[in-house]
Formats: sequence, structure tokens, C-alpha cells
Amino acid sequence: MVALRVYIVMRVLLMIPMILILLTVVFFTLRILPGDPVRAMYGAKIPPEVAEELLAEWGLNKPWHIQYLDYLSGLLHGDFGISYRTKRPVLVEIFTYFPATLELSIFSMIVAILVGIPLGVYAAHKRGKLSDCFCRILAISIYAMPIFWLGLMLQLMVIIFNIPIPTGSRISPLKEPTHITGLYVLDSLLTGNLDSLIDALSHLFLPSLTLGLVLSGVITRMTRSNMLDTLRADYVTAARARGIAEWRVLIKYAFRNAILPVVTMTGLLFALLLAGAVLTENTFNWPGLGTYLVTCIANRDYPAIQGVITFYALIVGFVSLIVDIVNALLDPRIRY
Amino acid sequence: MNRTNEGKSSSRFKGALLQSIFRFSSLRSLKGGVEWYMMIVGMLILVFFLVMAIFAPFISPYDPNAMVGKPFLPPNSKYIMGTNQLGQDVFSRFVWGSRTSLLIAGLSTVIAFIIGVPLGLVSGFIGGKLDRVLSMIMDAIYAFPGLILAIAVATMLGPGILNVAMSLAVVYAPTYFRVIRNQTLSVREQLYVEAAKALGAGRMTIMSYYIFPNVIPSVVVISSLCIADAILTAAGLSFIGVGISPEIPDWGYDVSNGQRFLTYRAWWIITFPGLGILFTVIGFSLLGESLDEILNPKLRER
Repeated sequence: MVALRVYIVMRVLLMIPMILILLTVVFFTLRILPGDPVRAMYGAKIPPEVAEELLAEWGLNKPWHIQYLDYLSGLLHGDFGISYRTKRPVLVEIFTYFPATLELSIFSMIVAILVGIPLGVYAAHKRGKLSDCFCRILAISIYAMPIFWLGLMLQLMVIIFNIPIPTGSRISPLKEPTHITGLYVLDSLLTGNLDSLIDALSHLFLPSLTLGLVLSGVITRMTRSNMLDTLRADYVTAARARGIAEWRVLIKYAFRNAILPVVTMTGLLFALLLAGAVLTENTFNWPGLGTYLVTCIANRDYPAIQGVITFYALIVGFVSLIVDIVNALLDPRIRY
Repeated sequence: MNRTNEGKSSSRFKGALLQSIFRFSSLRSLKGGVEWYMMIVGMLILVFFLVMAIFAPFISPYDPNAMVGKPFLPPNSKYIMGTNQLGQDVFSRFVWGSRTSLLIAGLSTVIAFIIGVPLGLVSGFIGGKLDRVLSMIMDAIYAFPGLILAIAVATMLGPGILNVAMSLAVVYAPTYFRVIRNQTLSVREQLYVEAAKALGAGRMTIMSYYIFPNVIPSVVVISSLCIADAILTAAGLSFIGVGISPEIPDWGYDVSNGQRFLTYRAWWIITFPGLGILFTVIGFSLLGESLDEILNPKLRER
């Protein structure tokens, strides 16, 4: 128990340099690389005096190390800057868009698990046979699919076959549930609003199917290779020798042990999920963080771009911390 | 002295590669080895797109940027993939798009290789504080969602093929770094490295003539898988609008452009460029995965 506590404390301390590195990378990519936000926003013909004034107002005329310290101390105070475009604090904007991204991510993960794990188990079971080959090619093809293209293809089908499923936005006008968490499905469940629940779910269907399918390719491969490892284990042979039904061996003996290492891969999957969400949201006009990021890019709203990317960096750092701690809880060998 | 060394190590590497391919093919082809077919299919797909990219001026029937027919014509005998909203030939843009896609993928791989491999070698070989700091930086970048990092860099660099390639290289350099570093860590303990040290070889000599040829095969696999990923990320950048400028035919841009005409049921504008991305990525993935199983003896047992 003491060793575990030491591990967790060490891991939390190690998170500080990791996040600091990410923030530094973000800062340097956005501030130091060539590119002048004033001219990018107002065009190259802006009078030099006005440009100087704006630079001073945004604090961009200071030496870079002062800017860097300002940026870090701002973050410590929860100050992500003020959006050039809307003149609102970036952090407030981020929190209005984040629930949509969270909701999409949760439902996509459900789709990915429901599709990926059975496929992976099946492929491992039929190893080397034609159906295994088919599953693997399917997994590769799904992974190779540009996520936005898959989304557009699904939309195209909906349009061509006149299927009554919405292809854009999060909810129909006037059907928004009372705001509690910002997750529409949860909110409408909490308020017992059946009408908006169905509406929210129907809007969620295509985006989460798109993102979930792409993620399921990775899950299939992970499950398959882990299953192959456990299927060779002695306890599986022993179980088979005792005459236990094959599906029982697969599920109760092999699968249970194969699924543990998947936790380790969650970090990687999570990065994929965040990146995929950016594209999916833009394909389906989903008002999440990814759509917000692209809007900010189109408007050259630098504090907002930097804020969103910083926010992503914080999430990634936090999730990798959680994953490592869960891993340490599951596997007593991981200690300092 | 140096030249003979170089010749020996590179021929040794080739020998090992050929031997493993030979062993693999002779053992597995009898059992109908799936990986062997995967590699052939992957290579065929890649050769197809490579030929298309190289001979684009001869294959494409029209100028990809010129208005050559009425807008929104569905595929027909004159325009086999139809025309887009500007009356441009979708097939010609498809053919030229392969050139852009492969060029960006190749360039980004070269840049990522130039950054990642030497750093990985030095970091793994020298170790100590330098190794710890470099690993931490690379791990932090590696953990970050690639597309989002590429968006950030590409936004600042502005449009252009080289800029997109550079922003992709930032994303994939850590992958090369990690693979090379880990391989270097195990190779530097080998007896022949010890022998070279005993003979008085300098650090540079050991790294470039003893370690480098032995860690490079793993890069072959990784680069194939990284290129596949890079093509997807590049397409994502174009889709979002931070990729290359619209005058250059590009699959990702064409898909994002055709998105607006979905309600016209103009399926041909987005379908074909999307298939282009899909099949190039499948080609690289198949090649990478099969090479991985051929060159990695631990996986081969499975």
C-alpha cells in the first residue's frame, strides 16, 4: 500500500514537467514561429501605427520570455486569455463547447467497444482462417478511412435513401433540455424530457457511428493480439482439457485476461478519439470544441486557438495520469 | 577503412533482410501465409498510385484546374468521374491529387527521419540526463493528439506543401525517436559493440557503423505505418482548411469542397478523392503490417 501511494505521488509530480513541456511546445509553435497575428487578422495593408498599437494591447511586443511567463502565470490563475473575435474569456467559451465533445466521445466509445471487441475476439478465435483475414482487412480498411469522408458518405446515404435521421447539429431548435450538465442526453434523462431525449439521440447517431467505427478498427486489433497471447496460455489449455465449452473458454478465461492490457492502450486511444472528434464535429456541424477550434483558425483568433490547444494538452496530461494510476492499481508490479 | 566498414554493414543488413524474407516465404507460402499476400497487395496498390503520380501529366485527360465542361456533370464517357461545381474534371484532379498526397507523405517522412533518427541514436547511446530530457520531450509530443498538433503548427506556418510536410514531421519525429532509441539501448549492449570499443573506435564510428545499420530495419516498418498515418493527417488538415492552397489538386481539399454539394446528390465529387486517400493508406498499412510480421521474429510465432 505504501509503495502504491509513493507511486501515485511520484506520478502526479511527474505530470508537472510533462504538462509544462506540452504547454511550452504549444506556446512556441503559436508565438515564435513566423506569422503575425495582427496582419493575419486585419490583412497586410494595416497601417504600421495601428499594428503597433494592437501588438501592445495584446502584449505581443514584449520580449518572448516575458510573454511566456505571462502566459504561464495567466494559466495558473485560470486565465486563458480573451478571444479577439467574441471579446469573451476563452475559458468560458471552451466550457460552453466542451460538453458537446464529451457527449460525442462517450457515445463513440460505446459504439467502438460494441463493434471492436466482438470482432477482435472472433478474429482471434478463427486465427489464420479466412474469416480472421477478413476481420483484419476490415480493421485495416476502417483505420485507413479518412474519418470525415466516412461521415460524408454516411450523410450521402441518408440523403439518397431519404432516411429520416438528422445529418447536422446537436439538437432540433426549441428542443434543448434544461441546462444541468450540458450533456443533452443526460440532461433530458434527468428532467424526464422524453421528446428531447429522442431528438438528442437521433442527432447523436451518425456522428457517434462515424467516430466509433474508426476507433473500433484500433480496438479490434488490440483485442485480437491480446487474445492471441492469452489463448496460448497454459490455463486456457487446461480449461480446454477439462472439456469446457469453447465459447466459455474464450469469454471466461481468455477474454478476461486479454482485456486488462487494453487499459494501457487507453491513452493512445484517447488521443485518437480527440483528434477524430475534431474532424467528426466539423463534418456533422457538431457544436463542440473541434468546430470551435476550426472557427477560431478561420478567424485567426490566436488567443482562442492557443487556449483550446492548451486545454487539449491539459486533458491529455490528466488522462495519462489517470491511466497510469489505474494501471498501477491493476498491476502490482508497476511501482517505483 | 571507413568505406569498407560501411560496405560490410550495409551488405550484412541486406543479407539479413533477404534471408528473413526468404525464410518467411519458403516456410509460410506452403501454409498459405496471409502476410505474404498482404504485402503483395499493398505493394500493388502503392505501385499503382506511384505510377499515377509520376505520369500524371500523361494520364490526366484535362488540366486539373481548368473549366473543361459544364458543372455538376455525373460520371459519363467524356468525364469518367464527372465534373465538380467549377466544371473541372474530377478524374484529372484525382490523378494529380495522388502526386500531392505522395509528395507530402514522402517529404514529411524524410524530415521526421532527419529529426528523429539522429536524436534517437544519440539519446539511446549516450544516455544519462540528455536521454531523460529528450525522452520526456518526445513522449509529451507523442502523447498529444497528432492532428491537433499538426493543426497548430500548420496554422502558424501557413499553406504550402513544404509547410504541411513540416507540421506532419513534428508529429511523427517522436515515433522515429522512440523506436530508434529503444533499439539502440539493446544493440549497444551487444558483443560486437563491445569489441568495437575495445578496438578503440570513437563514439561517432560506433554509432554510425555499428549501431545505425542494426537499428534501421525497424524504421522500415515504422515509416510505412507512419506514412499511412501522415496521409490521413494531411487529408484532415486540408479538410479543415489549413492545408495546401486550393490551386494544387488535393484529395482532402476536394472532399471538403464537395461537402457543400451533398444535398445536390453530387456523390462523385467526394467519393473518388476519398477512395484515393483510402486506398493509398490501405496500401501503406498492408505493407507496413506485413513487413512487421516478416521482420519481427517474435510476432512471427503467432
